[in-house]
Amino acid sequence: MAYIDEILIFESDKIYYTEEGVEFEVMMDWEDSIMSASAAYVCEGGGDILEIGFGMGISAGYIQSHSITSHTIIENHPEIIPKAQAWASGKSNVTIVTGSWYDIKDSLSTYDGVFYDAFGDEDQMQFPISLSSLVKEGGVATWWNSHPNETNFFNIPNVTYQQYSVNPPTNTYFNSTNYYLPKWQH
Amino acid sequence: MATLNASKWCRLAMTAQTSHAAARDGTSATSVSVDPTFSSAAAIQYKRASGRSGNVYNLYRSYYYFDTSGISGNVTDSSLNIMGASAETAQVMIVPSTAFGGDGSADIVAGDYDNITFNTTIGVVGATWDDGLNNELEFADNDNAEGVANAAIRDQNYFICAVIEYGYDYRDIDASSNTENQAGINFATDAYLDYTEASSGYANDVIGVATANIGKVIGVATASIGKVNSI
Repeated sequence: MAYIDEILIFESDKIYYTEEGVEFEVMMDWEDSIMSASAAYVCEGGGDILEIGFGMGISAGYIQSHSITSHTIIENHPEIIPKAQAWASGKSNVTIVTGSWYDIKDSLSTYDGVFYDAFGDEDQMQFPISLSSLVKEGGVATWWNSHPNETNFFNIPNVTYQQYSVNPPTNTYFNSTNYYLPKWQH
Repeated sequence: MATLNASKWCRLAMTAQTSHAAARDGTSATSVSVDPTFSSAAAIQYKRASGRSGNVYNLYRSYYYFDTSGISGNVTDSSLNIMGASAETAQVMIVPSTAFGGDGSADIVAGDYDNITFNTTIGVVGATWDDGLNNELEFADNDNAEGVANAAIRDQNYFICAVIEYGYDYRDIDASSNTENQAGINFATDAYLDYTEASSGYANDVIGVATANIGKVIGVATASIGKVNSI
């Protein structure tokens, strides 16, 4: 079953689904410091920010805390979309775009900062190919790094990493005490 | 034909791994279901899916132990029979296993996940899998009493095997794209061995009478006869 068809379970500290009785976490609140650092990086120049994947909305909140011009969020899971829309209500500089980022990429603008953090994205390997067309010259991007080191899963050139100490509880997607935040500038 | 139900069975899972190698060659399962009676769509599975900036691999294997201590005659026409359920997209393969303590004396544990042998083929590829029906998986060379599986059933007091996905797990091929091959099992129905066992004892014709038609020779049961007139 594709992720987008999974029935998600929302708890205060995590989003997850189950298959064959096994729990698969999508996102957890222990990531707060990573989300804060990711938001700070993509917002360091202000301007227009693109966020691919809303999740628990942690990074969205941090992005809003910075001085930015616009904040575009793309979300495709049908159970998360209404939560993103509710969160965006009353925030004048936020636009929620529904659907697959890859399907609508040609209708997107270019951005000063891009944060890619999508779960179960069937088009994830299109992200590195599309990066240059999404980020303005001089703009920056980061993405979730599922590896506990500087493994460049997307093979994006000229990436640097900043290490952060984290303390995740046992889960199915990240169990290291070191997170390596990727940094890329166009 | 005779049948023998599995004495113990188990589903072991290796889930949420970031590479094919970690999922296939890992040593300790992430999930253990001992003697399950549920119906599992992923009893046998190889899955590669997109994770979160990465790939996620899930593998499921099903293990069986049979108490074959009561079988001593030559075995032919043997097969493993499993009740299918829900999912039917995988080709499956039977492989030898040393789970359950190696001889059935222990319950299966997470560390039995890799107690299988990929390079000793006892099974043939099960190309189809039927939902809600018995799936008969014939052993390789099963017409031959000296076939590996048949000899093991005859000579050992136990027979242990695992049923795994063939295309990627057995062949050790990393899926190049997202893949979900699975065969479901209804564990509520006992899996069983189906086999033909030749009667043990004297196995030669006597004065032109076929051995199959001889019960005794001069009052001695054929099962108790080693030789007749030095033959």
